[in-house]
Amino acid sequence: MKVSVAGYMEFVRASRPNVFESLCDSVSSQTNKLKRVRKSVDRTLRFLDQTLAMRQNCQVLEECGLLGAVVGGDVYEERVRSATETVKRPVDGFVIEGFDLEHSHECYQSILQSATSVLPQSSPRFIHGVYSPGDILTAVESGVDVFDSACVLTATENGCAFTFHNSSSDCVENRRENRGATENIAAEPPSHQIDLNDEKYAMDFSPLLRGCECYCCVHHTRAYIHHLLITREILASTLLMMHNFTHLMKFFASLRDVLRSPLESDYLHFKSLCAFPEHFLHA
Amino acid sequence: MPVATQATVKGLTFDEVRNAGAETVLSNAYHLYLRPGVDRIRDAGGLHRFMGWAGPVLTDSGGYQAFSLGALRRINDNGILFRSHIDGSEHLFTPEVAIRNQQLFGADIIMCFDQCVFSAGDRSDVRAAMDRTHRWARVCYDTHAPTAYSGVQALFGIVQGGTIPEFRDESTELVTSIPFDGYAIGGLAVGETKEEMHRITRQVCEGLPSDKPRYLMGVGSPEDLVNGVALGVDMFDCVLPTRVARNGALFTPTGRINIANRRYGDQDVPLDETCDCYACQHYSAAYLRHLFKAGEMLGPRMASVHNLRFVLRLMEQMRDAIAGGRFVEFRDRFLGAYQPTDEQSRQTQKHRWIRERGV
Repeated sequence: MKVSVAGYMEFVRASRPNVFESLCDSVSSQTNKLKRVRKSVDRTLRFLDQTLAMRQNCQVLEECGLLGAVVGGDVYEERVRSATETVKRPVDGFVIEGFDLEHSHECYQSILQSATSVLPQSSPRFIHGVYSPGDILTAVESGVDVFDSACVLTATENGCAFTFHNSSSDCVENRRENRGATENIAAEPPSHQIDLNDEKYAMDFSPLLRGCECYCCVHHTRAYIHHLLITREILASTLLMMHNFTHLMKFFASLRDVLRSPLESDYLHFKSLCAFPEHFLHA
Repeated sequence: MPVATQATVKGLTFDEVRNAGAETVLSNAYHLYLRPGVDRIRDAGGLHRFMGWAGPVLTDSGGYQAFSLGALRRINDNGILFRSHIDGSEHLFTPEVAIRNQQLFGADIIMCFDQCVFSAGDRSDVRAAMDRTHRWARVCYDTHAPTAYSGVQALFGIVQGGTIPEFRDESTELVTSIPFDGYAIGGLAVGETKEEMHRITRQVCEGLPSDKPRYLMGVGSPEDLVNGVALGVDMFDCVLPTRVARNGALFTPTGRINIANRRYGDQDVPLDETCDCYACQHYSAAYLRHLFKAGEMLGPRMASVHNLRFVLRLMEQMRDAIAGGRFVEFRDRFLGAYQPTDEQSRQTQKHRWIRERGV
C-alpha cells in the first residue's frame, strides 16, 4: 500500500485535526548509511513543501496547525540540516522523528539537542514514543515540549503502576522555607514503579500509591490488581491505565510548575525525588 | 444479576456496572476459592471490600463448576473431590466446606451445595444427584449460622430433578419443606430445549411459596428473562450478556445483532436510539464496529455496558409493568418484536466461545 502526500492529505482533510504532522521519511537509529540518511532529509523537505502547497489552496487544511518533521537519524550534521531547512518553512511547530526503543542511550540526549538547538524558542517541539518516564526529563532538558502517553501503555502492559514523585508543591515551597533542613525520608526506598505481578502484593491492601486520587487508588487495592493480573482479567489494564495516566498528567503539571521557578536547584531537586533508575537518565 | 466470576464483571469497573442499573452481583465460589483464595478474601475484610463493590453480593456454592470445570475425581455422599482446572491440585468440596467458604467470602445471599447432572443423564443418575442434593440441603441448612465476619446471610435452597416431572415435584416438595430464605431452580440451561426449560420452570414455580424469591440459575437471554418472569421467576444470573458482547453480539429491541456486520460501518448514529447506556449515549454504531475491527478493548467493554444495560433495563420495565398491571401486554409486545437467535447457531456459538475463552 503506497501512501503519497496527496493520499495522506486526503486523510487529514477528512479527519480535521487541530494539529497534524507533515508526512516524513524517517529512518531508525539503526540506519547508518549516510546516503540513506541524507535522502530521508531531502525527501522529508520535499514532502513538507508539497504539503504546504496543498494547504494553501484548502481552507479546511489551513485551519489545522502543521508540524514540520525533523529527521536525520543519528547523524548530527543531517539533524542540523533537517532542522535548519524546516525552520525556513512557515510551520506552526516541529516534531522530532526517529527516536526509537533501540536507540543508543549515550547519544540520545546529544542527538536530540542537535535537532532542537536550531529551532526557534517560541515554537512547540513534539516527540513520539518516549517509553520510559525518565526519558521525558532527558527530552525536556534537550528542548522538547510535547509528548504522547507511550510510557503509560508500556507500564500498563507490564502490569506496572507508576509511583515516582510527581508533586512539585512539597519541592518548591518547602525548599524555600526550609533551606538546610533535613528532608523526610519515606519508610520505603522510592521506586519509579511497582510490578503488581509480584506475589508480595497479594496481601497488600493499600492503594497503588498513597495520596493518589485516581479512580483505581480511591476504589481498589494492590491485592486486587495483583489478583486481576494473575487471573488475566481485562479490568487489570483498565484500572492500571487510569492510575498511570492520572499519575503522568500530574507529573507534567508539577514539571511545568517547577520549570517556572528561576532556580535550577528546584528542578534538580524535583528530578532527584523522582528516583528514575540510572539507565533512564542521560544527563 | 451481572456475573463477577473472579471478583470482576469482565472488563468493567463497578461504577460502570452500577450505572448500568445493577443491584446485586454474583460471584463464583469455585473460582474465588482457587484464586485469590478464601484466606486472602477473608483478610481483605470479605468479598465486598476485596473487589470494591458495596452493593449486595450472591455467591454460588462452587458445586456446579467443580462438576463442570474441574476434572472430577469422585462424587459421593461426602462431597465432590476434583482437580483444579488451573494447576491440577486436588480439592474436596463438601456441604460444610461450601457453607464455610461462603461465610468467609461474606456474601449477602449464599447457595446450598448441590449436585448437578447434564440433561442427557439417565434416570438413575438424575435420581441419585437429586437425593444427594436433598441430603446436602439439610446439612447446609443445619451448618448455616451467622458468624462474626459474615453477619447474617440469606441461604437459598436449590430444586433439582432434571427434566423428569415426578422428580421435579418431589424435589420441590422436599426443598420447600426446609425454611430457606429463597428457592432456586437448578439443573436447567444445561443443554435441554427451551420448551423443556419453560415446562420445568412453570411446574416448579407452581410449587414454590409466593412470598419468597424464586431464582432461575444460569438463565439467560432477553427472551428467557421475559418468559421466566411470566412463569413466576424473580431472579436470574447469566454470563450471556457480557460474553456475547465481548464477541461483538449486541442486544437490540428486535433481536441480537453482530456489530462486525458491514452495514454498521455507515451507521453514524447510536446502535439503539432508545437505549440510555453509556455506549449509546456517546458512540455511534460505526465507531463501535471500528473498535472491534481494530481489536481495541474499548469495543468489548462498551458492548458489555450496552448489553448489561439492555437486560437490566428490561427487568426494570417488567417490574414497572407488573406494578402497573400491564405485564401481559408488555410481554407480548416485547416478544413480538424481539427475534431470538436461532437455537442451532446459538448453541454452536456458545460452545465455540467457551472453548476459545476457557472460563
